[in-house]
Amino acid sequence: MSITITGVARAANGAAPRRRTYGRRALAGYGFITPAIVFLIGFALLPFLFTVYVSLHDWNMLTAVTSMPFRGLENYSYLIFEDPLFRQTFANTFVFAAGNVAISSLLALGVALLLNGEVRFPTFWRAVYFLPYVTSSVAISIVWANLYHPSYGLFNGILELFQLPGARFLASLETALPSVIAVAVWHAVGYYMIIFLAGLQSIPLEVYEAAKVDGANAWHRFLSITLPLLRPTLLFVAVVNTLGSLQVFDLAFVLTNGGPVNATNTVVLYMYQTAFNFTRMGRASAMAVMLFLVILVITLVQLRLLRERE
Amino acid sequence: MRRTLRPVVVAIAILKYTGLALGAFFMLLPFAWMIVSSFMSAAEIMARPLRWLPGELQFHNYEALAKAIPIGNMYANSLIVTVSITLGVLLTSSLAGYGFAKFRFPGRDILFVLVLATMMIPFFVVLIPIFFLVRQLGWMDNYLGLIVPNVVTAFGIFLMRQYMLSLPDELLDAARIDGASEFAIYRRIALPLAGPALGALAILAFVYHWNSFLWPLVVIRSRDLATIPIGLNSLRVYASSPEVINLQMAGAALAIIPVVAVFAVLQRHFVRGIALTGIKG
Amino acid sequence: MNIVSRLVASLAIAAMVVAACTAAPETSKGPVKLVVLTHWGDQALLAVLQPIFDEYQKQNPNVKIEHQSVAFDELLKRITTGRLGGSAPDIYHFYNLWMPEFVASDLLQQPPGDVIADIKKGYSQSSVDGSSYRNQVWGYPTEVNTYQLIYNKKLLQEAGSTKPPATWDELRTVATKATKKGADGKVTQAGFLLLKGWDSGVVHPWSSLLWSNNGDYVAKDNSKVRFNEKAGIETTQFEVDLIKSGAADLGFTMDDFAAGKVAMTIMANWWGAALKKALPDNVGVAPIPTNGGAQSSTLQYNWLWGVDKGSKQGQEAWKFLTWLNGAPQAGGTSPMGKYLTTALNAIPARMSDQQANASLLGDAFVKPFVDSLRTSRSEPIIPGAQEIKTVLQKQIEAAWFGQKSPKDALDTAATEANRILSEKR
Repeated sequence: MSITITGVARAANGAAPRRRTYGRRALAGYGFITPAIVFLIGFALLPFLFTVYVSLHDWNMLTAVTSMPFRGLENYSYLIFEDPLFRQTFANTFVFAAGNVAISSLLALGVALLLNGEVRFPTFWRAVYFLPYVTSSVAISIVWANLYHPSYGLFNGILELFQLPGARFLASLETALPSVIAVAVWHAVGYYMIIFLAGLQSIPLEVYEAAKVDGANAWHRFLSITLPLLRPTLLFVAVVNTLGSLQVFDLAFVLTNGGPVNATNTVVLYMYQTAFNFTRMGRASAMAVMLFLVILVITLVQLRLLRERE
Repeated sequence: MRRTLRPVVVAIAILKYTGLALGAFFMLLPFAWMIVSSFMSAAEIMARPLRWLPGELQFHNYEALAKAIPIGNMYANSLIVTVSITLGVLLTSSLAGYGFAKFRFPGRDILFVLVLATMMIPFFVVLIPIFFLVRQLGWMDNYLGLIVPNVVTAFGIFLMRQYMLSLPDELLDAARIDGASEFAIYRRIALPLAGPALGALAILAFVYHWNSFLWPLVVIRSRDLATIPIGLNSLRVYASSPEVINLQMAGAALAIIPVVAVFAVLQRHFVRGIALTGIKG
Repeated sequence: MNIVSRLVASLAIAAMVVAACTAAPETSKGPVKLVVLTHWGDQALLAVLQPIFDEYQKQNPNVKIEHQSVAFDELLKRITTGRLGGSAPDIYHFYNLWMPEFVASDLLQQPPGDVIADIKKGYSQSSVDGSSYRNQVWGYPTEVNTYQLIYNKKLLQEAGSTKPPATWDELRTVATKATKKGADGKVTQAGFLLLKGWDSGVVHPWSSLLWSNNGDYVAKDNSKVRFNEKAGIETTQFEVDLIKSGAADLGFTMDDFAAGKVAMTIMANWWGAALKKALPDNVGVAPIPTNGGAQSSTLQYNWLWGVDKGSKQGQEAWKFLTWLNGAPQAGGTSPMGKYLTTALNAIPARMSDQQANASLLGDAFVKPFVDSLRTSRSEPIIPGAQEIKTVLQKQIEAAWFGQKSPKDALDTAATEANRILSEKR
């Protein structure tokens, strides 16, 4: 990219000819974005392609990259057709995501609505609900694992005080995944509450006033004004929440390590185990690619559904 | 206009605050139990019927914790890594965001779409190749391996570009006429004006990387380099000794309390930052 | 604004400098440097270990020993992925189950002939087996761990037993008697604890029971697994029955045993230190109960020292290991033996060390474990052992939780295990 595109000399003052400015400034523009672009190519784009490449091979990281045995779609067909565990982790991940997104989004919206109007101590409420989000998932998993313990956990202790039967929580096949979802919801509600609050507060009051004048009651106002105007926020929350939930790892790893048996094993956790405990990088890469495709499709579907009546 | 205190209004208010209080109770319960049990002995924690308070404060839990894991080290590591990453993110995002927002050059839009596309690549997809790359570079088990792969984020670039689009061009052009170099303009005009966005990005990046677990888990081997999440994780030993439960609570408390304190002070900025990304996003 | 950006810039530079300093590799010239990798990072352990390293360096001034330690979870990954980048240690201390993986990846250096001879002479057959793969000894065995029946003396007495059960039938009876339930049917005291959630916790005790039932884990030529045969099904069914009767309620964990809420379990000797603190004078140890007249056997696994294939200081490394594990000091124990018994409360694999430290090993808790070494069998060192163990763990747990019958669970595990076996050979 040459500076002297037009060869026109610079004017003495002020307005330099456009094309010349384009040339020099363009160079600066490239300069500003180059570090980031180079990095993203090296740490995002190329690795992505490498994952796809590895997923077609067998690799334990000890053989050289150039001598990986080629396996074609074998990893994929094994995972889809012959590995019941992979299907189970997908099912678990979907259930987790569905539960987490639905519950945490609804609760977040509810709390945001409550906090949106006139409330005493708004800062306090906001802080309390948001607090779990800033804490490390490892720390809270340790705390919650202890809360959930069948013998000495706080929850069963409280239930016992009320003469109620205790629950197994993380130690039972049926209640393990819901228990993990509960922790995830607790962790995330505050974050989405803030987002919804921001969205709600950007709706001008005049719109509500006008509706009140027209005789609309609170429920009606909610349905025909609030929800439609919240659409972009709803979309944002749905997409981001789903994206994050489908990639769940920390909670599954620390709370249960995928147990009992494989009731809380998720795709990313299984991928981690396959890659780093069994050093089957090819198979793990195939898992990554498949989850990526699923996430891509789901995100696009969400974007389409929630943008429809634009 | 006076609000009439009709019974319905009062009832709604009662419901509202009850609901909020109930929710707040559940939000805070785990924290409360964590702190209380960090001062209990293991026997007290496991006692039935349930004990709410320790007989006497077991400060030695924290002592034992400090012996079991190098807390001070962990904090230092987390601080070094997170601050470095945050500064790096701010730098790279503002540079690239500025470039995309305020400059015209061939291929600009295509390149920006490329950047956006990488936002769609979740971390786990590139985990193995980046792990391999970091290993080849000899950055395993050291700060470079923890920091460098996280220093550029497409989301940050997107955010900064969004914000900088609204910066007045006249200011920039005026500076150019005055003979300032492009980098000086970036540094002295664009950056300061982008303060709010930088603040929001800084907070988001800081919280995210302070609590980050998967990547450090993969990169860190030796105890010396453990960050707080990794150090806490090592507390969950297989060989359970009766002392571990209360140590775990003490560990969690030490990990969480400072974050809570910082959050309490900076709360308004947190909220503003997240709201900013939510709306602009 | 200038100040702010200057501050930012200097902070960034400072951070990068710190990072770079720790990234720069140590250039050591002159003396031979041996990098030793273990999972012993505890301050209490290092207090005993470091002086041993220092002693060798004093006796051999041209040798410098650098000790790196990582958490146990990380050790395997560190060894298998630490090769490239020039950071591979010279000497590893590793769990013997990882040998097939290491050997298949050509990670280990063959010991010199005299070292092999020393190992074969000074260690029990099971320990030699536990340090061999493909008929090759790969290094010095260090600590050996076995499993025994551990019981709470008080709870057993309350259940009317004067001595611990010796057969499966007796175990069933005692466990049932020692189980207490509340008014709502919830188990408040368990007769037996089944460890769950991690591979060794599930598979090791199960294997000990299997062998005490005349069962076999794998065929002698490693061509297929045998844990899904009749003996294995009986073992799994035995555990499932305990669960169904409430004696081995699945809500109980190791913490509960340490708190005195469980009567019996099968666990390893390394738990001793914690138990002594938790249940002083109340813990008893007995051989694994048997079934069908079989001899009591148990699973043993050991750790061993190996040398990296790519190490340029192979000779010096083996010389150091010979001194560490072999040369008896005054009192007859090797430095390793002393470390294992005093700092780790572990059982040293070297027979002369067992004798030299007999006083420590004669402790009421440890002695039964030492005695069990006479009839113990090494954890099978087979290709893909780690993966097979995880598969088996998950299937046994599936049977415990009632997802599958013991036969189906074991057959599923066997199918997968055989596939892994054939693939990795």
